[in-house]
Amino acid sequence: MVTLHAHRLRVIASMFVVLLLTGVTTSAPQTDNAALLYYQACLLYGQPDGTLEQMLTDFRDGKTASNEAIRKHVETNRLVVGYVTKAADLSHCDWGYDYSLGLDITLTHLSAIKRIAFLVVADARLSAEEGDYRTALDRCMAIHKMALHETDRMAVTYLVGVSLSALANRTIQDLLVGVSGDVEALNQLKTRLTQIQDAFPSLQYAMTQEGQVCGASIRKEKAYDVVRVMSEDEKGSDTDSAGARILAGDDAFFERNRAHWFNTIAGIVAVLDSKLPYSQTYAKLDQYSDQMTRESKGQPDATFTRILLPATSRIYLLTTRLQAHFDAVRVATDLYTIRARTGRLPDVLPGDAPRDPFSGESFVYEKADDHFTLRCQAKEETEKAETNQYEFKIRRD
Amino acid sequence: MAALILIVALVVVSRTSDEPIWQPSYVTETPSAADMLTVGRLNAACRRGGLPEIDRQCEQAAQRLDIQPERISMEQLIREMKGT
Repeated sequence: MVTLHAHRLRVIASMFVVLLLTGVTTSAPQTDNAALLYYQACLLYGQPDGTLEQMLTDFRDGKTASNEAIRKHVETNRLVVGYVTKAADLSHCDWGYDYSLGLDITLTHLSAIKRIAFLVVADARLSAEEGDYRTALDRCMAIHKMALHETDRMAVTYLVGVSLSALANRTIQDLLVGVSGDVEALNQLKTRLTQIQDAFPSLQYAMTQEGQVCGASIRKEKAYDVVRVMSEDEKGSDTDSAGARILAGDDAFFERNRAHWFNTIAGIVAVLDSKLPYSQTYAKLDQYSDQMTRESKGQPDATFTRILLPATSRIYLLTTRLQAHFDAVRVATDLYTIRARTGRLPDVLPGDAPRDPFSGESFVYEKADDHFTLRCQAKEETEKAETNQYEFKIRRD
Repeated sequence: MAALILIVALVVVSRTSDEPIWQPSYVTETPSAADMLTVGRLNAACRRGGLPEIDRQCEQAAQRLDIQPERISMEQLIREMKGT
């Protein structure tokens, strides 16, 4: 009896030790949701004051070198950078939006997410200053991944994602000269950039999702909220009459407006799917927008479409500009690779180099003593000439 | 005459009470910081001025919300919770 009791005690003690050891050796559970880490990074970030913010902006834009205040700021927020890089490595990101709220979904983190992206850029540039270009480029790739996480199911978050990726590309463009002699790093970067570019959601996808999210607000019970937003967007008699029309609308009115909205979204997606050259697609999207504005005045069924439709042609322009920048940086990695192998830049672009998405033609390539330039052949008329022109520095041997 | 005025007044009141009262909100309301960050208002900002306008609106809302965290030590936090 005593022996049995002692045996039980030994078994229990052994189980306890095993459990304890399991607890010690098994790492603590970690979240697989990147958004939770981004939210924590946003909360932890100690934002700079006005003077320091200006310094950081100039440093981020490559206008000035770092100084003690910038280095201290980045060091103080090292934990934030850690959260962001950890989050960026996760594939799953759920921001926890309640899509049934439609236009009332609140995007509380947009401003903070851009600020922490700026912090990561500052960290990238500091690493580059110290000669650690690989870490610098890793930070840029973290921003690209952040951009993919940010491009959620709405036009607004899609645009923020586009702007984050553009920020990463601008930084890579400036820092690329640091790895211009490292063929392995260049190849690796090109592969990673291609993966990000391929993974970036299409505008068709973003518009379809936007259609679903905004469509949820074309309901009688949401009427007052929509009218409130509309009244801030546009003031005038047209707005007032549209507002009155929405508030007075019966179920059939909302049903017809929903049908008009989804037809319009389908039309836009069809234009984007047609894969016409950039200028034709842009013109068609612009026409669509004009048509909506005209129709909405005499057609009550188009009331919501006019209020909710984003500036699609403008978003299309920004998306194409982002693609052009990706392509230009990838072409630049090829050119640097050729220079690293042969000692000089080629006179013409390689035959398989990505093409300028604005024109469908090759980039215009120009060499100078201390840099080379890649320029898109077609430009949107309202843009400055230098918008789609990318300069890459050359390290003098 | 008085009866006629009364009838006209009653007709007007009964008609207007059936119609929805549409008072443009910008006359009476200023959106809260949380309102400024809704998809509806950010979409409107996007239509007005693209990404720079979205940024401006987000910044303005963040300032109003004062979401900048203050650094606070655990000791301070405990002291505040105890109300000392």
